[in-house]
Amino acid sequence: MKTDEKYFKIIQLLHAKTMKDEIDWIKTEEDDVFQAAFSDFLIRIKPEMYVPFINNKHTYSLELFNHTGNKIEHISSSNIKAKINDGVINSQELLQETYEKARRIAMGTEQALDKLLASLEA
Amino acid sequence: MFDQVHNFIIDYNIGDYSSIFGILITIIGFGITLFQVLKTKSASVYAKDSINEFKHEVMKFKTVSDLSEIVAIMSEIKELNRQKQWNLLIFRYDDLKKRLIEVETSNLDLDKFQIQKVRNAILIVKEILSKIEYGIGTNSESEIDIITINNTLSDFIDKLVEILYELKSIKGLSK
Repeated sequence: MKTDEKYFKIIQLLHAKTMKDEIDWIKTEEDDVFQAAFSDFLIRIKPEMYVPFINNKHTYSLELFNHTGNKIEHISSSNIKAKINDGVINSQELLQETYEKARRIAMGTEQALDKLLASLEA
Repeated sequence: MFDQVHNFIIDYNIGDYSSIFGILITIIGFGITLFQVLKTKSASVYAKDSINEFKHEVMKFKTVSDLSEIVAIMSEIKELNRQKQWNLLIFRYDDLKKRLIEVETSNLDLDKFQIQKVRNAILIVKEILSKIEYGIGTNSESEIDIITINNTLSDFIDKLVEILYELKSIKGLSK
């Protein structure tokens, strides 16, 4: 499997697991960056500040760190789309959805909404 | 007289009975020896288990002690952040990072989820340290977002206190 294909696969799996609430995303020292820890690695997801918007939307990136916090890779959806024809639209959209869901998990939005609904319905 | 005794032994197969009796004695002797060996072995296994259990308790105690110190350092750092003691903060964050890495790599009786919390803390602390060093290096300390950093540290203090509570709840450290 080529490196770009691995990137795309990582984005797909991360998206699927995030959507199923299987990843414990947390807040970081930056308001718009979220991170999650895995067996040997950590991942951060964030909007790319210095990359032009695509279709009036942010592009997003993943950063991979080892277990002691050293950065080992930077995966940008804007890079991947240029290289994987099939993933041109998907990687960008998947990362955007992953980011939005990660933000809600980290901020506890879903639980807050559930509690609010329960209070209103009581 | 000797002939009578000899005949008696032959007539009543006393030789065979002696052999059987000898074998029985040998078997009983072997059984006793085996029992003693097993008893010694089980004592040895018990001693080994006790030593392992003791080691485990010491490690757990060390983890609790290390995490308590980490929580104390984080609280101190929050105050130093408010006072903007940047040069002092560099040392404290560095110390904090080393202690977190020590807990993470020592694998001291923490489960998967607890280790993940510690790993998350390592990365956060490392990133904050980079920000402060960048701020000092470029004379842009005023751009460091102390409120967000302190909120993040508060979240981690809560998470580490949760781990401490979980470890202390385990029998042996509850007192």
